[in-house]
Amino acid sequence: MRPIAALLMLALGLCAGLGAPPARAAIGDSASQPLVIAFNGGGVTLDPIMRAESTTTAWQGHIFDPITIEGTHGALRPRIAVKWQSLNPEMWRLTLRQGVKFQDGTMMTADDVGKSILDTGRNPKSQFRELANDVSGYKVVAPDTIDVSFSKPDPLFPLHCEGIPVMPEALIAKEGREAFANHPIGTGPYKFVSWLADDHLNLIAWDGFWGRKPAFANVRLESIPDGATRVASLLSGQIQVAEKIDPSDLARVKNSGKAYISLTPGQRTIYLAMDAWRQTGSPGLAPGVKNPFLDPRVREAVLLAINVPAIKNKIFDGAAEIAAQFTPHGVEGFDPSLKPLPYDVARAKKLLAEAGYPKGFTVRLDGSNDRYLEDSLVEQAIGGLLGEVGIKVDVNSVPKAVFFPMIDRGDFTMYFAGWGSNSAITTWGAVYHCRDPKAGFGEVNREHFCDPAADATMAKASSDFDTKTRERQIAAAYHEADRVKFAYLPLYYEDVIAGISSQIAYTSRQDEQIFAWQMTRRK
Amino acid sequence: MTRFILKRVGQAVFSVWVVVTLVFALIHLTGNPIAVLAPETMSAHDRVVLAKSLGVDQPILVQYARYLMGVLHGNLGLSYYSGQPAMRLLLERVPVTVELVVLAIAIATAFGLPFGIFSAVWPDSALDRALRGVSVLGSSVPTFFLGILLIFAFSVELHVLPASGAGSIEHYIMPAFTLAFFRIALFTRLTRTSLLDTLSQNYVRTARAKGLPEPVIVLKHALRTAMLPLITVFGLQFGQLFAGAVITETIFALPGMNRLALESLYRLDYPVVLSYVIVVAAMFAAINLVMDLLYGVFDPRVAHAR
Repeated sequence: MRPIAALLMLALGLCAGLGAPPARAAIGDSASQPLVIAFNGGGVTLDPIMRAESTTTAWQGHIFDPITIEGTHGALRPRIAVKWQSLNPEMWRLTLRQGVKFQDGTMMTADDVGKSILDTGRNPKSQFRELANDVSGYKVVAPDTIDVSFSKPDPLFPLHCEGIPVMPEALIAKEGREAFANHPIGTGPYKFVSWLADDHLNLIAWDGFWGRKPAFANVRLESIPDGATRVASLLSGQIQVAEKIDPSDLARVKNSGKAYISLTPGQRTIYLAMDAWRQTGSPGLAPGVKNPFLDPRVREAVLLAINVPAIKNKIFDGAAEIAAQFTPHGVEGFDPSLKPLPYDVARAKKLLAEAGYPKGFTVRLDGSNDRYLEDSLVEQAIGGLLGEVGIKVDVNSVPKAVFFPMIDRGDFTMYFAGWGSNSAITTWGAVYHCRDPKAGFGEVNREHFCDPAADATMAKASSDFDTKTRERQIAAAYHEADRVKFAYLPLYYEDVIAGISSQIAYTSRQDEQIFAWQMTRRK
Repeated sequence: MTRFILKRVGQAVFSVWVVVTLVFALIHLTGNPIAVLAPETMSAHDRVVLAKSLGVDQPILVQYARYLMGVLHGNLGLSYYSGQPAMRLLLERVPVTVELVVLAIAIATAFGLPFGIFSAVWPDSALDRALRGVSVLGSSVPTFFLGILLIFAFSVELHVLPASGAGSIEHYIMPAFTLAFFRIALFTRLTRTSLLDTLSQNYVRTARAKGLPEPVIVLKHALRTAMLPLITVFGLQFGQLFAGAVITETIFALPGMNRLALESLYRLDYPVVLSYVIVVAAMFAAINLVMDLLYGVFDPRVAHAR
């Protein structure tokens, strides 16, 4: 008996001794006690144009500055460019911030900015090429001014600049991209210290930063893939900020007294799409059955039959924003006067009867089970709700690696997915525009919706440099598509959810990025 | 002897080829990496460029041939997802997994071996029954459940151990214990059975008749023989843990190679997945070798037979 007891004592003693809390310094003041932000994945490269993925971009956003930046709630803000002005449809003039240095001490020049734009648009490995596809060149007019020229008009260039990082082009040319990615140098508020790809990144505030000094000098960004562990780490005080709290954990965080939840309506629109081109033979229907979704009344009935407020409250514990339109808040063309259609089973049944489906029909609903927040739960709920109006739904939830290739090759009749973009014009071109692969239009218009008149309106908007007329044209085109033809059924916008320690003040950003330099201490 | 070694090496190469081909086929059946890699907003033209730069636009047999050539040259290519050399990404994470597994096996042995000895020396005593009860529990609690339970007890409530990450030994205690729990039960039962078997043998009776003290009989004479089946299981468990700590590494956010492999599988990042398969295969081969040598140490007859 005695040796066991001794062993147990030893083990317990070991745990207790090692677990003694370290000396309390203020969080973020020393490398041994950094401010820790946990993501549900890790940044995979520190070369800022190699990977378009939100965690990677967020990690890089501590070291690099984009030319312009999106504000917390979506508005366009200056960063390296302090002013932008359209000289003519084929030329934008950018006025640059003066006195900006790279973290190796060299001054940032107008050439660095110009070359960064070209690099982003032309490097064969760049995943952000579409942001600067139409840039034909640039000219340095003054040390703080460059004129960027275009092969075709791009009124949204300042918006695209949110995704163009300023890189030390001379240094990259000298040492090569790979060496640069191993020890990145940018103009941002934090300097690279060390990292393990896809796991963690240690940072330290940089003295030479042009802007406000961050409140936390030592920062660690890390990956904690398991949602329950992220919450546990947050509540135990081991980390200060946790992104993507599962909706089922919201109440626990709120009631803990140690942390709070910050919710901001995001830019990802969750929607339903339905086959709009096949008369018969649509793969989600029984063989030979006529495609009911060619009739806009059936599409409207589906929307009316989905109780989005119930989905919001039951599945997301309130952490979602009901959508009245495809364009999310804060994005140009958002129409604040539009209200969501109310949940109305009676009217849905009436519309179905008018369209010739008094007894409903049977259809397969395809969706992912690992791509969007609670996606498979919502798909199940939609299946149940549509059952109430007589539409019998076979829910087919599959991994995203299977789902996207499937819908891309047209193997669906109705699918559930999301779309996130900060530009309604880009969205239209990809999701709504009549399919025209040669011209690069309608690439994500998998359901083959086609409205040439609305396309013409959007074409005008996309080369219109007057913000007001542009917004009006965008709203009109979307209204026609979504409220008259029911091209897509926007259901809700995912909320950006973060759990934050009570010691820290921070508001979740609409663009799903998390930046330590926007956090402050709470008294 | 040379023939024997050549045959074994040939078998190993053949099995690695089978595994590599299977993984290649499975990943290609599950989907298209571009669909996972490309941001949703990426244009069709840019997708084609991306596919070309990764070589996944080629016919599948060409990709396979190119891939096999790469393996032969020790070049597993760049990760599709991060653009970094796949093998380097994986090797960076091997130390964490090795530390975790070694600690887990050490804990399992430190508890399992003495528990088993006590059980065997005093069979059907209250202690034996209690230990056997615990071992039933140990073999039935799932890893993910135990892991989360430990986190809530020691991190959230007691604040004595960190819930996630790697850096100091504190980070390894809970994950290693989570992994070890089942093995403590396993080792206890195995030691008990094996030792009971040995204790009933003639040479032990002879030793007792000689009047040797009981501890010497048990620890020196009986245990040594009883260790042989244990070594086999230790080795197998080491290999199993090395390639099977996926859930534990994910729950505790340890940057081990199993978590990387799982995430890479989701991303259809097969240069990394295949590097993993090769590292695991090599590891198993190494473990088998070490086990063969250990047999010789514990049972000199094995060594002499060579």
